[in-house]
Amino acid sequence: MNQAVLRRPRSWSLAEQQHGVVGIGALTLGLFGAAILALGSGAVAISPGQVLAILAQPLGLQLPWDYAQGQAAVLLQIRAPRVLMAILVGAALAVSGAAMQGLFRNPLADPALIGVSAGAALAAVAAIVLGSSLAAVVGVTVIAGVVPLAAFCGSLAATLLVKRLATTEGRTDVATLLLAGIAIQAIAMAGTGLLTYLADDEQLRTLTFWTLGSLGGATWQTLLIAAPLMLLAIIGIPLFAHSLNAMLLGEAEAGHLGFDTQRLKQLLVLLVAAAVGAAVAVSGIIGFVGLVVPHLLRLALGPDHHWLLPGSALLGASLLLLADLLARTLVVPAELPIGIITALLGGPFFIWLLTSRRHRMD
Amino acid sequence: MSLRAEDISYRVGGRTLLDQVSVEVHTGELVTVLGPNGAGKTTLLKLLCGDLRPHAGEVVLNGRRLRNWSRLALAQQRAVLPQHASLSFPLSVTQVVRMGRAPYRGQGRAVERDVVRAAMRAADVHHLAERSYTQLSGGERQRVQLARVLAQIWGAADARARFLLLDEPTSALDLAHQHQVLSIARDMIKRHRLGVFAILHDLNLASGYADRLVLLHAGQVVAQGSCDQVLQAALLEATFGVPLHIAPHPLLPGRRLVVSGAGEYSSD
Amino acid sequence: MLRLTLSAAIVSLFLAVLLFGSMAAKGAVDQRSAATPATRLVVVGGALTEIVYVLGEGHRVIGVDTTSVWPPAATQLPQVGYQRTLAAEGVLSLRPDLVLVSDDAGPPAVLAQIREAGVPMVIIDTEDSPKGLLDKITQVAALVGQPADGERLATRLRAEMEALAQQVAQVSDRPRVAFLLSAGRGVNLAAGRDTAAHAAIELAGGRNALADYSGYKPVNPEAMIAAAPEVLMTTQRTLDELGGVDGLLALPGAALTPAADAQRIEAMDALFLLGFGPRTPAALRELAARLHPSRITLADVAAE
Repeated sequence: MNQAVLRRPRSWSLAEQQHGVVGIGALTLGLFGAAILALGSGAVAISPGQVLAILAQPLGLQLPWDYAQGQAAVLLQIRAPRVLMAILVGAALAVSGAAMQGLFRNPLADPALIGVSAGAALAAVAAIVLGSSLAAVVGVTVIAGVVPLAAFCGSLAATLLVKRLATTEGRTDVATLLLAGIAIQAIAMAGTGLLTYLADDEQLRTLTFWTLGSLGGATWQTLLIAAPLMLLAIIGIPLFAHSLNAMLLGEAEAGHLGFDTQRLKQLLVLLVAAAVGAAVAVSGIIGFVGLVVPHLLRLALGPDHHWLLPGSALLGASLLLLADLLARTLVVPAELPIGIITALLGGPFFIWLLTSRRHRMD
Repeated sequence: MSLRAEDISYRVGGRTLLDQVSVEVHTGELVTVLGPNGAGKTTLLKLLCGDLRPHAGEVVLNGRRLRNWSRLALAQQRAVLPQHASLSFPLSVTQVVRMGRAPYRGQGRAVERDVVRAAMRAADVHHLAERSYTQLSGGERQRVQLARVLAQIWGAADARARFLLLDEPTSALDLAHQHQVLSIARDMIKRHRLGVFAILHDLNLASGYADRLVLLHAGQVVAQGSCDQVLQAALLEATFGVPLHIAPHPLLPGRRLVVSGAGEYSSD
Repeated sequence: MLRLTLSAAIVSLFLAVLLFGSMAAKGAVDQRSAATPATRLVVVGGALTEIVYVLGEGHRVIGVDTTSVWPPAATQLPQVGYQRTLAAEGVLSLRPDLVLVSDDAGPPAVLAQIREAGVPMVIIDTEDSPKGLLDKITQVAALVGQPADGERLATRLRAEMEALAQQVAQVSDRPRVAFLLSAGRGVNLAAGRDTAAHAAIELAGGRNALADYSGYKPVNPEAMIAAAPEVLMTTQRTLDELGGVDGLLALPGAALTPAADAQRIEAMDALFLLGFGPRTPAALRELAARLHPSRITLADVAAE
């Protein structure tokens, strides 16, 4: 009896550890595979050997695959920034989703819940629809960067408003945060609807981008602007794994364990708002990644945030990379909005998740 | 060494929830607070653990005002067992208990493993180590949470001054588990000289396990002291508004048994 | 069982309403006789408004939609809103005796409401082709009581287009043109087949480099490079929003096209080029002159 008791607890730590390490390793390999696949596919044909040769060239390596200068230009100027953008946006959305689910202790939460996406969409749509008339009045030429900038500001403004509504005497109430988020979301969507009503044909076509997302605008320039904010969340949020684990017990319980839950809530909300705001600004609203990816990983790796957060970043990056690959190759020379693909993959999965949960409860 | 509330008052809006309450828990004793719903029991517990700050008076832990304790140092000296644990994610039992070690980060895996194992054994959940928390029964969950809070104060910096606050630890449990949780608490008091402060609803459980009782009514302390001093028919009837009969405990000398409302049925 | 019957009933009711609605919308296209030209005219559709004004009958127009931005006089008139989202009361409040709409106008229910209120309405087909343009002119001219002027205008425009077509036929190299309707807001919408831009490019002696799909769709940057356009075209408004040629060339893929190497970036006013109204022959000639700078000139118009 005593021996059995002694033997058991010795194995758990190691087993969990191994499980997590194997999982993260597999996800890392998966991301590498997806990146190579994405770099090697597109409207312009570039073979995997040529991809390697082009990438090795700046390092001074001469590989035995010939390629045309045009192929190198496409790979380095079009495909590479887009692949990196897909990785960053996917990772930022998924890790933000995992953080929100942990913070709200609700496996169905996602960044949209604190108003991030709705605020970004409203501001972007406003910039598109009212931009030209505003420019006519003010007499300033609208520059291309205005819409992404507006989206970013909109997401931050909506999130700060939600947070403010949920904070009394310096304490942020999680339940109120959620309800305020839903209210702000509804108001922002009404505003978006109103602007959509005012939009003309050309603007309506552009609005589709903001509601369904696309990585078609990715260049080194947009990447450099958006990457720092997304990296901050991708690297920063996993540092809160310990605190988020404690939050699973309950907010008061985490406080009793010595965690500064108020600071945790504020930091996480800001990190998520900045990262998702930046992601929406460069790629529009891409649904389901933030919701489904952490969920999937929780089934595979368990709810421990030490594995869940980096795992979500890796899987989110891979999934968005593959979704974008489909978006840009399925209907060449046109493109599908990427949100259609993530929703087509995510929607049925979500339904399956809901029904299987219900079965388990029965 | 003690956890002490000195004349604390607490108000919400215009309502006074606690009015100049003074209570004290020493290490090595179990103090239970009794009182009807709305008497201020939970508010008192939240003030004692630092969730709330009193509008007047002070809470003092080991001679130092609670507000002067750092978060982490406080977490090492006192732990709180919640009434209902709201954990809904499928963490393993070991993972849950291990969270009790959060205030001791960097102490090393070996120590952590030993403490977690000992706490699980003390709370009689070691056989559940690898089970998922969400698949446990209510009684098992409460014991896992108990193991977690035990692990939290197990290796405290000042081992002579550790306190455990229990918020209605038995409310969701059947008879056997109620006694199990309180015997574990008693056992920990005996072996590790913890100080335990517990909110209880069952007067007989309190009578059976507590060293001292505090009777709270409408935000004020009506009585506090030993079982004999507090468990008096007139006092309890005035507090709870129910006819009560008090008898000597048939098994435990010096303790009392409380029977509620029996007179009404027999007289008709 | 009951629920099934009920939902079936609801579905069929819904279908019936839809069917009835669309019949009402399509059913009665009043043809007004030329003998009694309308005096209070609401025009919905930029090209139709242009035709009315070119025929010298602008004084009859009492209201227009937001796509009617030329001539400038038309923009001073009361607005009835965007052509696809008309409101019945707004149109009726102007007390028109004829509502002239392009077949882009809607929603159908609103058109039906206007007609049910007793206001005659004519829906004009807007095919983006020379024939479509001439048909439009003939129909509109009859409605405003100027069939003879309409005939003269149509004859002149037909001649201009035929002259252009002859010159275009002699040009052997037809440059590949990619037309960006909008760009720089994260997605670049390029014109495929079955668009006014496609028609205009082909008529002006170019080839649409992105004729593999139909309509205006987001174009894949790599596919844009693979299509190797020799000329990049956009609307003046889009070019302004992008901050000029440099902004356009900063779009993903744009800089790697032959057009960028040759610095052949063209922008024209959207309604002028794509409206298929009375100014279209001039617009097509201007486009042709830009596509074939050494072969076709704007001066040819005056030579007619």
